[in-house]
Amino acid sequence: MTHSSLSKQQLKLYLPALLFIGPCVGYLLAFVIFPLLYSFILSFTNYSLSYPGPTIFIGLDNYIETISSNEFWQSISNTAVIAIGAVGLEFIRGLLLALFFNRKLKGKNLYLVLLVIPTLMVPIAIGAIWKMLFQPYGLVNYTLNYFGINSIDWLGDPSVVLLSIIIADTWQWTPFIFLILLAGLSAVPKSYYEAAIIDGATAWKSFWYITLPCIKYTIAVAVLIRIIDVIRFFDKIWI
Amino acid sequence: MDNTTNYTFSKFNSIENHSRRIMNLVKRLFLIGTIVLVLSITLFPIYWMINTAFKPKGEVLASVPIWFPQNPSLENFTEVIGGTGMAQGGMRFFLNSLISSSVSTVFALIIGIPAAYGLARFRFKWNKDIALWILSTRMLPPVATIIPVYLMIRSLGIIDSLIGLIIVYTVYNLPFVTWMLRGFFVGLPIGIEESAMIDGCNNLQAFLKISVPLVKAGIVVTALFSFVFVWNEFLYALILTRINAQTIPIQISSYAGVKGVEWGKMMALSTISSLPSIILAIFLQKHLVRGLTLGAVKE
Repeated sequence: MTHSSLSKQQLKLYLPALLFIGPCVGYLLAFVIFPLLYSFILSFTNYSLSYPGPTIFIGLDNYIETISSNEFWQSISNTAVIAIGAVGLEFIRGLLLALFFNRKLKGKNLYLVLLVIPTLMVPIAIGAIWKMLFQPYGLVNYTLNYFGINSIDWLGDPSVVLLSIIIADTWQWTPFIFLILLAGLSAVPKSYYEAAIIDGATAWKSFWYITLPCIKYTIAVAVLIRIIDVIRFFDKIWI
Repeated sequence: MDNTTNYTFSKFNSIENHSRRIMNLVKRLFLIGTIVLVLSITLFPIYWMINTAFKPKGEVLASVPIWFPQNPSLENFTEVIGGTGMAQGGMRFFLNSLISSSVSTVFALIIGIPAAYGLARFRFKWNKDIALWILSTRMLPPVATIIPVYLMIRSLGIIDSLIGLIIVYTVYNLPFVTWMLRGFFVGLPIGIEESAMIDGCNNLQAFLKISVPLVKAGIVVTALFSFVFVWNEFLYALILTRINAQTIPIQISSYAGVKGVEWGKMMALSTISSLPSIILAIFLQKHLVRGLTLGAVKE
């Protein structure tokens, strides 16, 4: 008796939650978790889109084959280089820009809108633009030649390609980090800095002891989101 | 005596004034210089895209770059829109992008708004865990699930159709919509709904008549963002479409063929495809940070 009334009460509590959240969770289960498990299971079989034979269980063979292949380690190191290089550069540029724009400025909103365009553009279009600029006879090499520097094979030389990707990625995503850090900076109370000036702190000290600790969380969010995105990005490399 | 001190003082004063004025000038020049530098780094590639798009074929690959189009022509634009590319039949890929972006945004909102509200309002076990789990599905690399998704869509017989794209894009935007709106619902004072419930509204009525209208602005912001995310999406469109359901990003990449790259057309379509983003940047100024961080950072 008590048990059934309790569950009825629970039902009354959980039913609306289920109705509101259920469809969303169900949809994600069907189209994200199910495919993910499917991927996981396929990874232990010899299934292939191009070979129609029977699918059999082959244990860890795929994993062993992948880990022992050179391409795998090459791709891991490429990803790491791009992630560290691009996110690092974006962070430094973004922070400098944010510190610079964190002041009253005529036409600031206009500048911000113009600066943020790369982040919102179609990534494929950005890849295309940079591919065009990095062509053997493209604009970048033309400029280098103009200043007496030899052309660089931006798209062909495997070690330079990573740099090209980092440059393009930095161009696209610096505004993202910049905007987030700017939001973080503008939330730091002005009175902190006034107090620091009274105490005789230098600009560097007030940056190190006030600004950085205050925007710690913001920095973490920005860098984390970028690292996750860099690791999974695909389109720019494709083009 | 008095006179001399006064004199030296004022002289000193004027020198100081003078040097301060120079300092101010230097500071202003530095400010302006930095802004010009930063803007030109950001805008030059975009300018080059537009510049190339307006060049006739011969000028695109000129060995000495042509900085301003001397004979601006619309041939690239007319050819791109005229549909001589892979997607025969005029502006089909343009419509495909438009339809898949807007319909999937609407679906994501229909499923996501109640979920966001539920996660923001109902207190129950695992509330936060479910919210985090929803966010985590967004962080997953699409490559991890793309083959099974492809198989699922194929077994439903909707490869290369807008329906398939819309289903997948709804999944793509659902975590974003839910997280963004959850933030907006959490920001609403609960008292308004409570007083509505005291007046005899039930949960659903309070939700539909009170809460949703109050976060209307948030819903518009979220919708615009999720539209652009789908508009920009490439991988799913590449895997799940062939000819009929091709979207703009696929069409852009198709100009890089084996016979060489048609830069003019590529840039013309890139220019067209960037328009929604630029419009978004103007309209969403104040909400950019929140949208781009999935609601993690609020301005």
